[in-house]
Amino acid sequence: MDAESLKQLLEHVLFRIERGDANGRAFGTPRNPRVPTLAEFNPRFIEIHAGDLAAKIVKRKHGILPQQAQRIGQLTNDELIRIRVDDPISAVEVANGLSLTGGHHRTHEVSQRVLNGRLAVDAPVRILLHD
Amino acid sequence: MIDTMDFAKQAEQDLRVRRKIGPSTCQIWDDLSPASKAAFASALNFLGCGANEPNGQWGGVTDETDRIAACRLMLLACDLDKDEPVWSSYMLDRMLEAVMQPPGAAVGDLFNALYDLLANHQGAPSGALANLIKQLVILCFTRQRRSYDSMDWSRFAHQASADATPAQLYFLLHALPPALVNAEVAQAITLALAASPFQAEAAAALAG
Repeated sequence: MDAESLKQLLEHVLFRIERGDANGRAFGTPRNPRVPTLAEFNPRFIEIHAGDLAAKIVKRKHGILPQQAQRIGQLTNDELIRIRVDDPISAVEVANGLSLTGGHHRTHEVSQRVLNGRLAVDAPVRILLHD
Repeated sequence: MIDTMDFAKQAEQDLRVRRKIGPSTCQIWDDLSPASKAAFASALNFLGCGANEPNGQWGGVTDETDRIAACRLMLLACDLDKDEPVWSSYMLDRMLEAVMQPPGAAVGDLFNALYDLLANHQGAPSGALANLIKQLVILCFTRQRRSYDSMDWSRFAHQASADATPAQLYFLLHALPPALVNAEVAQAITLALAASPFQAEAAAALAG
Protein backbone atom coordinates (compact mmCIF):
# COMPACT_ATOMS: atom_id res chain seq x y z
CA MET A 1 0.00 0.00 0.00
CA ASP A 2 1.43 3.38 -0.99
CA ALA A 3 1.55 6.58 1.04
CA GLU A 4 -1.58 7.94 -0.65
CA SER A 5 -3.58 4.84 0.25
CA LEU A 6 -2.38 5.04 3.82
CA LYS A 7 -3.77 8.57 3.99
CA GLN A 8 -7.14 7.15 2.98
CA LEU A 9 -7.39 4.89 6.00
CA LEU A 10 -10.88 5.30 7.31
CA GLU A 11 -11.57 7.04 10.57
CA HIS A 12 -12.75 3.88 12.30
CA VAL A 13 -9.42 2.23 11.48
CA LEU A 14 -7.55 5.15 13.05
CA PHE A 15 -9.52 4.56 16.26
CA ARG A 16 -7.71 1.24 16.59
CA ILE A 17 -4.80 3.27 17.96
CA GLU A 18 -3.60 1.72 21.20
CA ARG A 19 -1.90 4.62 22.84
CA GLY A 20 -3.98 7.57 23.94
CA ASP A 21 -3.15 11.23 23.43
CA ALA A 22 -0.20 12.92 25.13
CA ASN A 23 -2.02 12.52 28.45
CA GLY A 24 -2.88 8.88 27.85
CA ARG A 25 -6.58 9.49 27.24
CA ALA A 26 -8.30 7.17 24.76
CA PHE A 27 -9.28 8.75 21.43
CA GLY A 28 -12.94 8.89 20.44
CA THR A 29 -14.25 9.21 23.98
CA PRO A 30 -15.72 12.16 25.91
CA ARG A 31 -12.33 12.85 27.52
CA ASN A 32 -10.60 13.00 24.14
CA PRO A 33 -13.17 13.33 21.36
CA ARG A 34 -10.83 13.82 18.44
CA VAL A 35 -9.69 11.44 15.73
CA PRO A 36 -6.01 10.51 16.00
CA THR A 37 -3.85 12.10 13.32
CA LEU A 38 -2.08 9.91 10.78
CA ALA A 39 1.20 10.86 12.47
CA GLU A 40 -0.12 9.68 15.84
CA PHE A 41 -1.45 6.48 14.28
CA ASN A 42 1.93 5.96 12.55
CA PRO A 43 0.81 3.32 10.02
CA ARG A 44 3.29 1.04 8.22
CA PHE A 45 2.97 -2.37 6.60
CA ILE A 46 4.87 -5.56 7.24
CA GLU A 47 4.55 -8.90 5.46
CA ILE A 48 4.49 -12.16 7.37
CA HIS A 49 4.36 -15.68 5.99
CA ALA A 50 1.02 -17.34 6.73
CA GLY A 51 2.86 -20.18 8.45
CA ASP A 52 4.53 -17.78 10.90
CA LEU A 53 1.41 -15.86 11.79
CA ALA A 54 0.11 -17.95 14.70
CA ALA A 55 3.43 -17.77 16.55
CA LYS A 56 3.87 -14.09 15.85
CA ILE A 57 0.51 -13.04 17.35
CA VAL A 58 0.89 -13.05 21.12
CA LYS A 59 -2.11 -10.98 22.14
CA ARG A 60 -5.65 -10.42 20.86
CA LYS A 61 -8.46 -8.03 21.71
CA HIS A 62 -11.07 -10.77 21.77
CA GLY A 63 -11.81 -14.39 21.01
CA ILE A 64 -13.44 -15.96 17.99
CA LEU A 65 -17.15 -15.64 17.32
CA PRO A 66 -18.42 -18.88 15.72
CA GLN A 67 -20.86 -17.16 13.32
CA GLN A 68 -18.19 -14.74 12.10
CA ALA A 69 -15.65 -17.57 11.79
CA GLN A 70 -18.14 -19.42 9.61
CA ARG A 71 -18.60 -16.34 7.38
CA ILE A 72 -14.84 -15.84 7.04
CA GLY A 73 -14.41 -19.54 6.35
CA GLN A 74 -16.25 -19.07 3.08
CA LEU A 75 -13.68 -16.62 1.67
CA THR A 76 -11.19 -17.75 -0.94
CA ASN A 77 -7.51 -17.66 0.00
CA ASP A 78 -7.06 -14.49 -2.05
CA GLU A 79 -10.00 -12.80 -0.36
CA LEU A 80 -8.72 -13.90 3.01
CA ILE A 81 -5.27 -12.33 2.76
CA ARG A 82 -6.13 -9.40 0.51
CA ILE A 83 -5.55 -5.96 2.10
CA ARG A 84 -8.79 -4.24 2.93
CA VAL A 85 -8.34 -0.50 3.43
CA ASP A 86 -11.69 -0.37 5.24
CA ASP A 87 -10.73 -3.16 7.61
CA PRO A 88 -7.06 -4.18 7.40
CA ILE A 89 -5.49 -6.88 9.51
CA SER A 90 -3.75 -4.65 12.02
CA ALA A 91 -1.54 -4.93 15.06
CA VAL A 92 0.72 -3.16 17.49
CA GLU A 93 4.27 -4.37 18.03
CA VAL A 94 4.89 -5.65 21.55
CA ALA A 95 7.99 -7.10 23.20
CA ASN A 96 7.75 -10.65 21.85
CA GLY A 97 5.48 -10.32 18.83
CA LEU A 98 2.29 -8.66 17.73
CA SER A 99 -0.79 -7.58 19.62
CA LEU A 100 -3.64 -7.90 17.16
CA THR A 101 -6.04 -4.94 16.85
CA GLY A 102 -8.02 -5.96 13.75
CA GLY A 103 -8.60 -9.00 11.55
CA HIS A 104 -8.98 -11.51 14.38
CA HIS A 105 -11.20 -13.89 12.45
CA ARG A 106 -9.14 -13.66 9.26
CA THR A 107 -5.85 -14.39 11.00
CA HIS A 108 -7.50 -17.26 12.85
CA GLU A 109 -8.72 -18.66 9.54
CA VAL A 110 -5.28 -18.20 7.94
CA SER A 111 -3.71 -20.29 10.70
CA GLN A 112 -6.42 -22.95 10.39
CA ARG A 113 -5.88 -23.24 6.63
CA VAL A 114 -2.12 -23.49 7.05
CA LEU A 115 -2.64 -26.28 9.57
CA ASN A 116 -4.90 -28.28 7.26
CA GLY A 117 -2.83 -27.57 4.14
CA ARG A 118 -5.33 -25.32 2.38
CA LEU A 119 -3.01 -22.31 2.39
CA ALA A 120 0.71 -22.29 1.58
CA VAL A 121 2.95 -21.62 4.58
CA ASP A 122 4.77 -18.95 2.59
CA ALA A 123 1.64 -17.13 1.45
CA PRO A 124 2.24 -13.45 2.25
CA VAL A 125 -0.04 -11.83 4.78
CA ARG A 126 0.28 -8.06 5.00
CA ILE A 127 -0.35 -6.49 8.36
CA LEU A 128 -0.86 -2.83 9.14
CA LEU A 129 1.28 -1.92 12.12
CA HIS A 130 0.40 1.19 14.08
CA ASP A 131 1.04 2.86 17.41
CA MET B 1 -50.99 -11.09 24.52
CA ILE B 2 -47.87 -12.32 26.34
CA ASP B 3 -46.06 -10.26 28.96
CA THR B 4 -42.99 -8.58 27.46
CA MET B 5 -40.71 -9.32 30.37
CA ASP B 6 -41.65 -13.02 30.29
CA PHE B 7 -40.67 -13.03 26.64
CA ALA B 8 -37.38 -11.25 27.41
CA LYS B 9 -36.61 -13.73 30.20
CA GLN B 10 -37.20 -16.70 27.90
CA ALA B 11 -35.04 -15.15 25.17
CA GLU B 12 -32.30 -14.45 27.70
CA GLN B 13 -32.47 -18.01 28.96
CA ASP B 14 -32.12 -19.27 25.37
CA LEU B 15 -29.01 -17.16 24.89
CA ARG B 16 -27.42 -18.13 28.18
CA VAL B 17 -27.97 -21.85 27.63
CA ARG B 18 -27.92 -22.39 23.86
CA ARG B 19 -26.23 -19.15 22.73
CA LYS B 20 -29.08 -18.50 20.31
CA ILE B 21 -32.78 -17.68 20.34
CA GLY B 22 -34.96 -20.77 19.96
CA PRO B 23 -37.77 -21.00 17.38
CA SER B 24 -40.46 -21.11 20.08
CA THR B 25 -39.18 -17.82 21.52
CA CYS B 26 -39.23 -16.26 18.05
CA GLN B 27 -42.86 -17.33 17.77
CA ILE B 28 -43.74 -15.78 21.11
CA TRP B 29 -42.43 -12.45 19.84
CA ASP B 30 -45.33 -12.48 17.37
CA ASP B 31 -47.79 -12.37 20.29
CA LEU B 32 -46.31 -9.26 21.90
CA SER B 33 -48.08 -5.91 21.73
CA PRO B 34 -47.24 -3.98 18.54
CA ALA B 35 -45.10 -1.48 20.48
CA SER B 36 -43.11 -4.26 22.17
CA LYS B 37 -42.74 -6.10 18.89
CA ALA B 38 -41.25 -2.94 17.42
CA ALA B 39 -38.86 -2.55 20.36
CA PHE B 40 -37.52 -6.10 19.93
CA ALA B 41 -37.74 -6.51 16.13
CA SER B 42 -34.28 -5.25 15.16
CA ALA B 43 -32.65 -7.12 18.06
CA LEU B 44 -34.31 -10.36 17.01
CA ASN B 45 -33.23 -9.81 13.42
CA PHE B 46 -29.70 -9.24 14.70
CA LEU B 47 -30.01 -12.51 16.62
CA GLY B 48 -31.17 -14.38 13.53
CA CYS B 49 -34.91 -14.63 14.17
CA GLY B 50 -36.11 -12.93 11.00
CA ALA B 51 -38.69 -10.76 12.74
CA ASN B 52 -40.75 -8.36 10.63
CA GLU B 53 -41.49 -5.01 12.19
CA PRO B 54 -45.16 -4.18 12.84
CA ASN B 55 -46.73 -1.74 10.43
CA GLY B 56 -46.72 1.36 12.63
CA GLN B 57 -50.43 1.51 13.42
CA TRP B 58 -49.52 1.42 17.09
CA GLY B 59 -48.35 5.05 17.07
CA GLY B 60 -44.64 4.66 16.69
CA VAL B 61 -43.63 4.80 20.35
CA THR B 62 -41.53 2.12 22.03
CA ASP B 63 -40.95 1.69 25.73
CA GLU B 64 -37.44 2.32 27.05
CA THR B 65 -37.64 -0.75 29.30
CA ASP B 66 -38.37 -2.94 26.26
CA ARG B 67 -35.54 -1.39 24.25
CA ILE B 68 -33.08 -1.93 27.11
CA ALA B 69 -34.21 -5.57 27.38
CA ALA B 70 -33.65 -5.94 23.63
CA CYS B 71 -30.14 -4.48 23.95
CA ARG B 72 -29.45 -6.89 26.79
CA LEU B 73 -30.20 -9.80 24.47
CA MET B 74 -27.81 -8.48 21.83
CA LEU B 75 -25.05 -8.04 24.39
CA LEU B 76 -25.57 -11.60 25.61
CA ALA B 77 -24.90 -12.72 22.04
CA CYS B 78 -21.35 -11.41 22.66
CA ASP B 79 -21.11 -13.76 25.68
CA LEU B 80 -21.22 -10.79 28.00
CA ASP B 81 -22.37 -13.15 30.73
CA LYS B 82 -18.89 -14.70 30.61
CA ASP B 83 -15.49 -13.33 31.57
CA GLU B 84 -14.20 -13.51 28.00
CA PRO B 85 -16.76 -12.02 25.63
CA VAL B 86 -16.37 -12.55 21.89
CA TRP B 87 -17.28 -10.20 19.08
CA SER B 88 -16.14 -8.76 15.76
CA SER B 89 -16.16 -5.19 14.50
CA TYR B 90 -18.67 -6.31 11.86
CA MET B 91 -20.93 -7.64 14.58
CA LEU B 92 -20.69 -4.47 16.69
CA ASP B 93 -21.50 -2.30 13.66
CA ARG B 94 -24.62 -4.37 13.02
CA MET B 95 -25.50 -4.31 16.71
CA LEU B 96 -25.37 -0.51 16.88
CA GLU B 97 -27.58 -0.29 13.80
CA ALA B 98 -30.07 -2.60 15.49
CA VAL B 99 -29.89 -0.63 18.75
CA MET B 100 -30.78 2.62 16.98
CA GLN B 101 -33.55 1.20 14.81
CA PRO B 102 -36.65 1.16 17.11
CA PRO B 103 -38.61 4.41 17.28
CA GLY B 104 -37.24 6.50 20.14
CA ALA B 105 -34.04 4.49 20.43
CA ALA B 106 -30.90 6.03 21.92
CA VAL B 107 -27.40 4.85 22.78
CA GLY B 108 -28.52 5.08 26.39
CA ASP B 109 -30.59 1.92 25.81
CA LEU B 110 -27.40 0.02 25.06
CA PHE B 111 -25.45 1.59 27.91
CA ASN B 112 -28.18 0.86 30.45
CA ALA B 113 -28.21 -2.78 29.35
CA LEU B 114 -24.42 -2.93 29.41
CA TYR B 115 -24.18 -1.38 32.86
CA ASP B 116 -26.71 -3.83 34.28
CA LEU B 117 -24.90 -6.85 32.81
CA LEU B 118 -21.55 -5.58 34.11
CA ALA B 119 -22.97 -5.82 37.63
CA ASN B 120 -22.45 -9.58 37.35
CA HIS B 121 -18.68 -9.21 36.82
CA GLN B 122 -17.37 -8.92 40.36
CA GLY B 123 -13.61 -8.90 39.83
CA ALA B 124 -11.41 -6.73 37.65
CA PRO B 125 -12.54 -7.00 34.02
CA SER B 126 -10.63 -9.35 31.76
CA GLY B 127 -8.70 -7.79 28.87
CA ALA B 128 -11.37 -8.93 26.42
CA LEU B 129 -14.17 -7.48 28.53
CA ALA B 130 -12.34 -4.16 28.95
CA ASN B 131 -11.70 -4.04 25.20
CA LEU B 132 -15.37 -4.63 24.46
CA ILE B 133 -16.47 -1.94 26.91
CA LYS B 134 -14.08 0.62 25.43
CA GLN B 135 -14.97 -0.40 21.87
CA LEU B 136 -18.69 0.13 22.55
CA VAL B 137 -18.05 3.57 24.05
CA ILE B 138 -15.90 4.66 21.09
CA LEU B 139 -18.38 3.24 18.58
CA CYS B 140 -21.37 5.02 20.13
CA PHE B 141 -19.47 8.25 20.75
CA THR B 142 -18.07 8.50 17.24
CA ARG B 143 -21.03 7.14 15.23
CA GLN B 144 -24.01 8.35 17.27
CA ARG B 145 -22.67 11.55 18.74
CA ARG B 146 -25.97 13.43 18.89
CA SER B 147 -27.61 10.60 20.79
CA TYR B 148 -24.56 10.27 23.04
CA ASP B 149 -24.50 13.99 23.85
CA SER B 150 -28.21 14.11 24.59
CA MET B 151 -28.06 11.21 27.02
CA ASP B 152 -28.84 11.76 30.69
CA TRP B 153 -25.72 10.45 32.40
CA SER B 154 -26.77 11.48 35.90
CA ARG B 155 -28.07 8.00 36.79
CA PHE B 156 -24.65 6.55 36.04
CA ALA B 157 -22.76 9.31 37.85
CA HIS B 158 -24.88 8.74 40.95
CA GLN B 159 -24.26 4.99 40.85
CA ALA B 160 -20.50 5.33 40.64
CA SER B 161 -19.84 4.33 44.19
CA ALA B 162 -18.19 1.60 46.20
CA ASP B 163 -21.13 -0.65 45.32
CA ALA B 164 -20.38 -0.55 41.60
CA THR B 165 -18.27 -3.38 40.18
CA PRO B 166 -14.82 -2.70 38.70
CA ALA B 167 -16.21 -3.47 35.23
CA GLN B 168 -19.00 -0.90 35.71
CA LEU B 169 -16.47 1.67 36.88
CA TYR B 170 -14.16 0.88 33.95
CA PHE B 171 -17.15 1.64 31.70
CA LEU B 172 -17.78 4.93 33.51
CA LEU B 173 -14.10 5.86 33.29
CA HIS B 174 -14.38 6.02 29.52
CA ALA B 175 -18.06 6.81 29.00
CA LEU B 176 -18.90 9.56 31.48
CA PRO B 177 -18.57 13.15 30.30
CA PRO B 178 -15.64 14.63 32.31
CA ALA B 179 -17.88 17.29 33.84
CA LEU B 180 -19.75 14.57 35.73
CA VAL B 181 -16.63 12.94 37.13
CA ASN B 182 -16.43 14.62 40.51
CA ALA B 183 -13.94 13.72 43.25
CA GLU B 184 -16.21 10.99 44.62
CA VAL B 185 -16.64 9.31 41.23
CA ALA B 186 -12.92 9.59 40.48
CA GLN B 187 -12.09 8.01 43.83
CA ALA B 188 -14.50 5.13 43.26
CA ILE B 189 -12.92 4.44 39.86
CA THR B 190 -9.37 4.73 41.20
CA LEU B 191 -10.03 2.38 44.11
CA ALA B 192 -11.87 -0.19 42.01
CA LEU B 193 -9.13 -0.38 39.39
CA ALA B 194 -6.17 -0.14 41.79
CA ALA B 195 -3.86 -3.16 41.50
CA SER B 196 -5.58 -4.17 38.26
CA PRO B 197 -4.05 -4.05 34.76
CA PHE B 198 -6.09 -0.88 34.22
CA GLN B 199 -4.64 1.16 37.07
CA ALA B 200 -2.32 3.24 34.89
CA GLU B 201 -5.00 3.71 32.23
CA ALA B 202 -7.42 5.01 34.86
CA ALA B 203 -4.84 7.33 36.40
CA ALA B 204 -3.93 8.80 33.02
CA ALA B 205 -7.54 9.31 31.99
CA LEU B 206 -8.58 10.88 35.27
CA ALA B 207 -5.55 13.18 35.33
CA GLY B 208 -6.25 14.51 31.84
